[in-house]
Amino acid sequence: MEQHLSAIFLYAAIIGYGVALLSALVLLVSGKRMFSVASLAIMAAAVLAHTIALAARTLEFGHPPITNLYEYMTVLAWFAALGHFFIIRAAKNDFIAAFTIAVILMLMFIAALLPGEGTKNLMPALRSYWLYIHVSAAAASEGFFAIGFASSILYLIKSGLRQGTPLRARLPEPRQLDDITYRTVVVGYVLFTLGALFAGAIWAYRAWGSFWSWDPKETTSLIVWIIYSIYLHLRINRKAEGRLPHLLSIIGFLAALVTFFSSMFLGGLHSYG
Amino acid sequence: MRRLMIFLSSIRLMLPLLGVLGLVALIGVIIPQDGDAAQYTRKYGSGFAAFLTANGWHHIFSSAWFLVPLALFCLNLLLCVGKRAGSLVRIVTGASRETPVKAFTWGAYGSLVLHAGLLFLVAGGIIQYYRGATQMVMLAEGEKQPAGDFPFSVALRHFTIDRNAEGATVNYRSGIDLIDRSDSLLRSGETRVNAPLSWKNFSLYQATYGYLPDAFKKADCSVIDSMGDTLFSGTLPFGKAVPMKGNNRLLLCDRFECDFVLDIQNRTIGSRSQNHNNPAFHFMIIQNDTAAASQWIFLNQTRRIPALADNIVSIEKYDPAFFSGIQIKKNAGTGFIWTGLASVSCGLLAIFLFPMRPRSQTSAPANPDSARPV
Repeated sequence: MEQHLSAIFLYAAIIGYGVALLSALVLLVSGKRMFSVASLAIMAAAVLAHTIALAARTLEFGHPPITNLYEYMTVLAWFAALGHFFIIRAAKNDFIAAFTIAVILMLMFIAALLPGEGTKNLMPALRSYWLYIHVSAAAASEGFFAIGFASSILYLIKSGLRQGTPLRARLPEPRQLDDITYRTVVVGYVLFTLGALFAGAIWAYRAWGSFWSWDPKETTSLIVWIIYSIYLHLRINRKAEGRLPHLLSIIGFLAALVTFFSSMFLGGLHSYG
Repeated sequence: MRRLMIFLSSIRLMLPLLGVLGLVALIGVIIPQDGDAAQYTRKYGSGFAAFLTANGWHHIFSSAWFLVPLALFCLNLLLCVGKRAGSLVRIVTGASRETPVKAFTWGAYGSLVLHAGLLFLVAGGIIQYYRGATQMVMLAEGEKQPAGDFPFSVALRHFTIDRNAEGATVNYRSGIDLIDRSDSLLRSGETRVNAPLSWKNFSLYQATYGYLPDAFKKADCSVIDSMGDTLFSGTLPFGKAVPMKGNNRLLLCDRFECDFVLDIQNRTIGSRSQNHNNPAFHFMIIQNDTAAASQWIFLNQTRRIPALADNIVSIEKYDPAFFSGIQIKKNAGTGFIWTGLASVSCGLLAIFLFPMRPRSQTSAPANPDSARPV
C-alpha cells in the first residue's frame, strides 16, 4: 500500500514540477505576477508530494530510499528542490527559478526511467549506518551541484548574448549568478568531500579493508572532486573570472552524472542497484 | 632558486597538476585496469593494446603517468603548507608586521590544516601500498591454515548465515581463532560483514563463503533392512561412524561429491562442478572394524542396495558444509590516513564556515564579457 502511495506521490511531484515549470514559463512570457505566486505555490506542493513519496517509501521498505539508482536519483532531485527553495527563491529572479525547476524535472525524468523496484531485505554489505551517511550526503551534494549547474548555464548564456538583447536584460546579473553557483558549489563540495569521499572511504575500510580501491565509481568521484577543487581555487583566489569557473561547474555536474551511471556500465565494487 | 620555489609552491602549478591527475584518472576509468594482454587485444585490437600495455596504461595508477604528477602535486602542497606555516609562525612570534586578525583568519588556518591533511592522506596511501599486505584463506569449519607470511594461523570455529524472519540473509559470521606458531591462542572472536576482527595491526574480513564440494555437515538418513526393520534413522554427520541396530554394525558416510560424475574410461568418481546439482554420498557398513559393504547413494534415492546387505538406505536431506573466505589485511599507514581525513574535514569546515576574506571581496564582480584564462 505504501509502495503504491509512494509511486502516486512521486508521479504527483513530477506533475507538480511540470506545472510549476509551465507557470514559470508563462510568467516569463506574460510578466503577470499571479503566475509567480502560482509557480511558487505549485512548486511547494510538488516538494511536499516528493517528501511524502520518500517518506512512504521509507516506511514501506524499512530504510531510507538510497539503496539503488532510482532511489538515489529521486533523493538527489529532492535535495535540488530544497536548494531551489532556499537559494534560488532568495535570488528573486523568475528566469533562474524557471531554469532550476527544469533541471529538477530532468532529474525526476531520469529517475522515472530507472527500474523502481525496492527491497526490504538489503544485502549484508548494505546493512550499515555508513550507507545513510555516505549515500545521503552524496545525493545532497549532487543536488546542490545541480543548482550550480543551472546557474552556470545561465551565466554562459548571458555571457554569450550581445549587450542590449532583450533576453540578456531579463537574465539575472552575472554577479548574482556567480554568487549562486559559488554558494551551491561550496555546500555541495563540503558534503561531497565529507560524505561521498570520506564517509565512503571509511565504510570501504570497514567493509573491504581498504580506504581506496580505484573502483570506477571511486575514481569518477575523485574526478568530480578535482573539477570542483579547481573551480574553488579559481574562484576563491580570483585566478580567473568569467566563463572558466562556470564551465568547470557545468563539467563537474556532468561528471557527477557520469559517476552516477558508472557502476551501471563499468561494474566494480559499487554495483548494488 | 627563489623564483623556482615560488613557482613550485604556486597555485599556477597546482591547478594544471590537478587537471593532469584528473585526466589520468579518467584514462584509468575508461581502460579496465590490471587486465592481461589478451583481454586488451580482444577489446581494443592488437595495435592499441600494444600501445597501452607498453605505456603502462593498464596499471596507470602505479605508472609514471600518475605518480610523477602526484609527486609534483605533493611537492607543491608541501611547499605551500610550509610557506603558510612560516607566515603563521612569523605572525605568532611577532616577526611579521601584519596583525594576526588581518593576516590569519580561521579560514586561513583551515586552509593550512586542509592542505596538510591531503599530504597525510597521500603519505598514508603510499605507506599502505608499500608496507601493507593482504592474504586470503579459505577455511572449512574446524580447519586451521597458516595465514601466508603473517606470523599466525587462522582457525575457523564456525561459519553462520544470519537470516531474518522472512529468511533473507542479514549477515555472514565467522568465528575465528588466531593461533601463533607455538599453538598459543592470540585472539579469538568473530568477523562479520562490515565488522572486521582486529588484532594488533591486522584486520580480518568476512570476504566470501561457499559450499564445500566434497563434504557436508549432516544428513537425515535412514536404513531399513530386508525384513523391514529400521536399523538407523536420524542425523548422520559426515565422516563419523554411527551405530546401527544389532550386530555391532556401524554406518559411515566417508565420501561426498556435490555434482557426481563417473569417468567411464578411468573408472574414477568426482564432481563435474562446484554446484550441488547431483549430490552423492558414499556409505559404508562397518562390522568388526572392517568395511562389510559400501555403495554410492544419491539424494532422495530409496532402493534396496545389494552391496549394503540388501538394506534400503535413503538420504532425505542434508546440510551442506560451508567454507568461509577470510581476507587478512596487514594495516600500514592507517594512522596517517585517519589524521588526513580528520585534518581535511576540519580544514574544510573552517574554510567555509569562516571565509578567508570578507564577503564583499569573495563575491567577484564577474563580468562575463571579460572572461580571461588563468
